Amino acid sequence: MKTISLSVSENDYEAFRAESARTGKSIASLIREAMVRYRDERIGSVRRLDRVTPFPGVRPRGGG
Amino acid sequence: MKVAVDSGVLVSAYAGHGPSQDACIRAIETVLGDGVMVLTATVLTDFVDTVTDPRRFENAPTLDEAVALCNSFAASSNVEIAEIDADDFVAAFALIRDHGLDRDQITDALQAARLRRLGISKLLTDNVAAFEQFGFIDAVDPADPTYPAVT
Repeated sequence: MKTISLSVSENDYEAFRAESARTGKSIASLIREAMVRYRDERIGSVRRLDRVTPFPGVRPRGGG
Repeated sequence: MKVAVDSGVLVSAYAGHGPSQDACIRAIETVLGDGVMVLTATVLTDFVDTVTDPRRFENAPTLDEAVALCNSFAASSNVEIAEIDADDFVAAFALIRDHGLDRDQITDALQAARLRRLGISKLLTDNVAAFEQFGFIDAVDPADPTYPAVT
C-alpha cells in the first residue's frame, strides 16, 4: 500500500465524513473505493480507436 | 501528430455514401493510426445533430446511437475532445470581426479559435475555403481527388 495525502474541499470532506458515519467505513476506505471505481471506469476502459465503423443502413437522402 | 476533423468529414465517414465516404474513412483511420484525432465540442454537437436528422438520412441513427459513438470517441486514447471556453468565444468573435464573417460562420470561427489555442494547424474538412481564410489552419478535404496523404 502507498500512503498519500491530499487536500479536498470542505464540501467533499463533509460528504465523505457523513458517508463514513452512515456506513461504518473509514474515510480512507471510501476514498480507496472511489479510486478503484474511477480506475475501472475511466482509466481501465481507455482503448485506441482504430477503425471507423459507419452506422449500419444509413444513407444520405438524395444520394449525397 | 494531432489532426482536427470537422463535422462534415465525420458525417461523411459515419453516414455517407460512395467514394467520398471511403476517402473520409481512410483519412480518419490514417489519423487514428499515426496520432490523435481532435474533435472540438462544436464538431461533436454538429455531428450528432446532423446524422440523427431523418430529413437528411434514411435509417438515421437514433440520438442514443450517435451519443454512444461520441462516448466511444471520448473513451479512446487517440481521440481528444476539445472543449470550448469563454476565451475561445472572445477569440472567435475577433476572427469574425477581422475577417468580416457572416453569422453562419460562427461555429467555424469557434473551431478555428480553439485549434489555434491548442496549437493544432491541420484540419480535415469538407469546407477548405472557410478555414484557409484564417491563415493559420492547414485545411484539406479528404474527399478531394487531389487530397494528399495526411502527414
